[in-house]
Amino acid sequence: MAILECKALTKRYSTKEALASVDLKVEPGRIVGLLGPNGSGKTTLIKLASGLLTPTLGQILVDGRVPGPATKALVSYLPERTYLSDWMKVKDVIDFFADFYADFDRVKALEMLARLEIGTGDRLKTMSKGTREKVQLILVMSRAAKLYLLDEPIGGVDPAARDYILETIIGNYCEDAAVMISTHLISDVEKVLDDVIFIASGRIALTSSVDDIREEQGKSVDTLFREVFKC
Amino acid sequence: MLKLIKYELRATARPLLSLYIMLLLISVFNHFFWTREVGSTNETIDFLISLFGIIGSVLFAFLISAVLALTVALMIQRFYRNLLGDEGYLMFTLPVPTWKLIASKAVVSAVWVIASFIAVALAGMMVSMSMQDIFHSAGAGLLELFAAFLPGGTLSPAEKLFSFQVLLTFVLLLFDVILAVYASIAIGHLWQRHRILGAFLAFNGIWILAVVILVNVLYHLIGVMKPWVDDGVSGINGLLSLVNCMGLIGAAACFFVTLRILSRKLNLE
Repeated sequence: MAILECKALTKRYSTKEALASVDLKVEPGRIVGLLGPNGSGKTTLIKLASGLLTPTLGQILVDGRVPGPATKALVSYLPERTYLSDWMKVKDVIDFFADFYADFDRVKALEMLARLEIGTGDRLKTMSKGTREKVQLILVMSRAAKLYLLDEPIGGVDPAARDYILETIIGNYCEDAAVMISTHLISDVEKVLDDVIFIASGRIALTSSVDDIREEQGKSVDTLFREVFKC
Repeated sequence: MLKLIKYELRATARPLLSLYIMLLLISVFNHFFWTREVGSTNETIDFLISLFGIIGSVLFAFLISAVLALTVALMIQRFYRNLLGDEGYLMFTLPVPTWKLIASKAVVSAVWVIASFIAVALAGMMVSMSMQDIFHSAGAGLLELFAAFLPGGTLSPAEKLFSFQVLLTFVLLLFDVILAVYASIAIGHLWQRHRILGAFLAFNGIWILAVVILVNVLYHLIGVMKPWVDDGVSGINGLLSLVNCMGLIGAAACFFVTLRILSRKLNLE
């Protein structure tokens, strides 16, 4: 069964249509790139899957269920924003995740934090934005989730940090889980992807495996993306 | 729900508890200077006693205002920032139903409002009474109250019910205000821009609506209620039951408006 399925999924914000009758399936064990230019509907799709938005029309199912508390226990979501509270120390956010997510691996999180020399007594308020984002990524990837939804995880960071983020994702996700990475920085993520979904103006422009793109079209995903979304 | 309450209390405790401690310390300071007699020794000491008395009074008034203002500010800020700001991305993706997010915040806000009033009342008592007197009178008062409620106590069943109803009225009124604030913020969030203005207008709208409904209900039921009022405590109990029912309906309405918006119309930036 698909871990994520959209059936004629539509989302409108007052007069603007962010997603238009989207049909797609994401199977377990795949790393999927949700690729599209800014404003194409990537974040809207991820927000719908994580239960932050409700569809205007159509249906979105996570593990066969409509998003709600049960599906939120299966989904590990990394938004574009830093969502950790200022008053907390690192140990507080670890306790918080352990309290609310049964699949959270505290030992794994502590190991990853130690490798970055982030102390559990460090205050989030005094951290740089980049460090907070890394703490957030570590928390998200320390869950044994069935579906990881990562919204622009490498947007706005330097190339060295991009490598760290991608290594953390690849090194820590459960292999029977699906990972969806939304980005417009194709060349950076291409090497880790199994499948791609091209999205433009709220519509699916292409779904394919990366191997098919390379073998059948003889192109990299980055080259194909530039052709499809040529201005 | 208990986990949510635990983190909500931890998020809000530090600033409020710090202010409570400062308020109680300044009350002790004021008690010391306000109970000293001026004019008995020399002028310098008299001057210093008067000066510290004035400084203590200004600080006392400032801290009381600060406690009350911070209690209200935290109620609004925690709802707005933790649910509708960036922190909402975490809170709304927790595997808990939305109603628990709202309810935990309302419970903790109510706890802090009550705690703030107790802190202010205690501070007021500490200025004018010694700690021994406070504990003595509070202990005696609580014992008297407890004895009155025991079987065979001084209160009749109707008077016990009346006491309970009055307490319930205060609790419901507290939740009415808190949930009306939450509903207003949620309604304001529906606006694309000027969300604070939207929340302010919604809050005023909710209270105008509540007053109109209350006046209409009382006007239409005045014939029914008149014999109650003439019937002593039992009659007042009937009247309070009606008021409490309306308070409960108001709180439930605000809760469901907030829940509906946060469940169906949530749109985090």
